[in-house]
Amino acid sequence: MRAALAEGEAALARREVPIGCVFVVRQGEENVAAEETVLTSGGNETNEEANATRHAEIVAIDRLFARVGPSAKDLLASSELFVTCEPCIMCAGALREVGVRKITFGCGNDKFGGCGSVITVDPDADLRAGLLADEAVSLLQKFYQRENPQSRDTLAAKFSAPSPSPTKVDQDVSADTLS
Amino acid sequence: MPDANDDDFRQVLSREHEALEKRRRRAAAGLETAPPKLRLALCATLLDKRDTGILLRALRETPSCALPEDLAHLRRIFKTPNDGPVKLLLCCSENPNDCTLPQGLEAMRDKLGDPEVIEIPESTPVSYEEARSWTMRYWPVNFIKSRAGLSLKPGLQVLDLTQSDRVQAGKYLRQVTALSASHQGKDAALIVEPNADVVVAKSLDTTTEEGHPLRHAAMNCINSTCARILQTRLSKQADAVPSPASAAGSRKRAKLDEEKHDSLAKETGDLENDDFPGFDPVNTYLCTGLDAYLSMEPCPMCAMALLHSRVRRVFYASPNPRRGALGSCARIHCHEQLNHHFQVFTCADPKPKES
Repeated sequence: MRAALAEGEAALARREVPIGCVFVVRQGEENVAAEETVLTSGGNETNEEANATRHAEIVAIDRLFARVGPSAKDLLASSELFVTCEPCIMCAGALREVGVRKITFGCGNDKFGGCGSVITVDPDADLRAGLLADEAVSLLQKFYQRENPQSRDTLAAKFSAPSPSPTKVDQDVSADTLS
Repeated sequence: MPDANDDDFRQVLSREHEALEKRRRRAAAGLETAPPKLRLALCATLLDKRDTGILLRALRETPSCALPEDLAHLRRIFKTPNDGPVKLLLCCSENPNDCTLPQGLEAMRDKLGDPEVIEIPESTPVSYEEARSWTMRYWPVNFIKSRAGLSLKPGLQVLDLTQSDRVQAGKYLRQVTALSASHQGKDAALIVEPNADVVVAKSLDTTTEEGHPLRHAAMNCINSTCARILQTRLSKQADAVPSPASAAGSRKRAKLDEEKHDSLAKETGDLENDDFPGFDPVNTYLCTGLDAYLSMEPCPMCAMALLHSRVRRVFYASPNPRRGALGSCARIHCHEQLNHHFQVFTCADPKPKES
């Protein structure tokens, strides 16, 4: 989870919603001093890519597929996910597609949570909640104290092109990219 | 396969709302609807009809006769048929045996007959027809349009597609099913700018080709759309200031996605590639205002990806009974908790996919 938080910190430095994750493979017996290998990791890239689907989990999965090709699916199926915030419905769906069942997350996600908060996408998933949740929350708070650089207002100011309707964006808009 | 009826769509609503719509349609067709929930009330016959005004004022000014907000559909006066006696609704009642005049109305005792306990509709009617049928059976009720629906977020409301909406939706839905059919029935997706009436991106499911289980048609289509938006934005930015080093990576990615899109566009003979009149990628926040057309109902991942991307409407051709998340197994778009809502439509007469 420390590694996932580090990915979150890195995302914050890139002015992204600070959520990070790692997929870990454990070798050896359970509960014995098992050897853990980080398979792949990722942080939110929604703002950089102007793509709301670039959540930490999707980024990490895509990285592994880019690196090892189709065999990534088997590797992922035997891995365990550690993510700072509860996976959203999209990510929970993606995790089910790639067969990741063991999911440990920090804080819950009342807005988009796909692991119990809003709906439960995969009833068979083995969930563990609340690991280092306070740190995950304080990381998010650091972000929301600032503005979201991709929100409509900021964009309109950045590109001086005439905006058709400069509507006021409420505080919540920055939360859409929450993983 | 496509025929004129393809332009007929059914909106996918929440189960609760769907039941309400069904009731509304049945009532409009003059069919039996569910009987209303009833409650007890006290009424009395007016001895002289000329006292109606005085009595109504007295009822308004007597606190114990006030009707609760959720009974605003009830009328106070019941003019019985054939110029019969006029009855007045005095107040709600809890006890069927208690026929005493409400407190504060004692001065009106000589103008009223003996009060009696009756049953009145507590539920709010959903249409004129329903209000009329309840009026005949129980007590006069009004149909109040603003109270007839459930209180729903704007995106969850029933949307009547205009004729031009239907024509446009029919055109693109046929296009996406044709795209799917011409690629061995693989799932296909289009993202469309509705005002300019142009396709922004079209994609197929590439899970098998890429050996990547997340490359569903809708996900690919969102990626292509975002890549195009980003590409345009970056080149605009490059015109203004030298591009920052950090943008180089995403520019490369955007380029890759762009090429992938172009190859499909060429393959399908699509010419709407270069510029979109009326579509302004720079000021587009994610996919706000765009419509998505899918050959098959999306899975939870794709449905939520569309929601995160803030699309305006989603149309799909065939339902996915196994894992569809916009009607079949779940109705993600109907969750009030989520921050964005889009309307979902499917063919009024869905044809199950043969496979």
